[in-house]
Amino acid sequence: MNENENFESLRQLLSLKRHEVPPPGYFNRFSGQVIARIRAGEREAESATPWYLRFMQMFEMKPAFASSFASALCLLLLFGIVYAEQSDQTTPQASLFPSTAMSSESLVPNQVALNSMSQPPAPNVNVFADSISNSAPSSLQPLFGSSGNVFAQQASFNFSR
Amino acid sequence: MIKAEPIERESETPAPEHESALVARARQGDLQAYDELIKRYQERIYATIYHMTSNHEDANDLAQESFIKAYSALKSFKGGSSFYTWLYRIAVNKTINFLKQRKNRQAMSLNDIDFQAEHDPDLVALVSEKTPRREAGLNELQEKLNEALLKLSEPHRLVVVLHDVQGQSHEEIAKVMDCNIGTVRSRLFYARQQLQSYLSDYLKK
Repeated sequence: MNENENFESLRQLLSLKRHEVPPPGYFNRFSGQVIARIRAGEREAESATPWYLRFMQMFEMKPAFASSFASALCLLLLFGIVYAEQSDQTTPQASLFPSTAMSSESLVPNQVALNSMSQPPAPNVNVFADSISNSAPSSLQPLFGSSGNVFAQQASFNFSR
Repeated sequence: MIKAEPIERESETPAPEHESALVARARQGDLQAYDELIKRYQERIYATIYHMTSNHEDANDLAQESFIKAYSALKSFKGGSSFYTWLYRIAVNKTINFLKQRKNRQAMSLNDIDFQAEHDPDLVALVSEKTPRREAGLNELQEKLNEALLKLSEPHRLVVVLHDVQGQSHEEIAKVMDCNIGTVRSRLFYARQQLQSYLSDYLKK
């Protein structure tokens, strides 16, 4: 008895396995069943997934959708900027940013300050209340006026009790 | 050593670019493309699982679950191996896990033997020649053969099924089992020896 011969007859016997076949028509239905199970699983997953996760999944599945969505956002932003600039040109007074040039309104405090210098101070004026303030100056309000000039104010001290 | 005979496959391996196109479409959620992939590989995947389990119902469930799992894991498929090898690995791992769980319950549910078996020269030779049990019919041989296969460990059974039944090369088996070719050869030799001892009454001497 030789080993090769034994394996040869084993090979012959194993060839029987190739003749074991599933019921007729089995493979005609197989792929349809798999696809149906996949669809059922997807429907189940969709109903269980919150809407925002499904929205994010759309980006993963369809990069084209993601890029078109981003393009639409960019266009919207661009339109917003252009529209805002146009509205600025039509109404310059409504500018969000203060003009660095001295306007007529900025002169008003200076005039007030000059007037106060020429007039005598009101009696019993609490000087410390005016000159010392506990509130910190706001960064948007210049300490010495919008024009950068130092205001002069006449000081008076009342020593009477 | 016996030589692996080339198996007549009903569907030849498709051109790689065609397969990759189908896989790409399936990854985008195209179920028609995936349906096409299933039709290409369903017979081979089912047959492998069936020969491992010797049970049609289990093979049906496991084959369907393998395709479903592969579809859900398509995003992780990097294309390092062919889709077929990747799918095979999923099916084989699923089957081995299943067999480990049902260790104590090995009920066979065998498929019928097709009419071509009576004309298969190998089987004709086996039955007609002077075997110790020459009177054994094909159905009895089928049952004894499946019982003997179930006695093998899963890795040894898998090697025999892939090589001697399905006609895959050692290289292909090594890829599917994620081991080297030497391991495949040694497992195959050991498995054949085991089968030979289990089936000695049905093999000619």
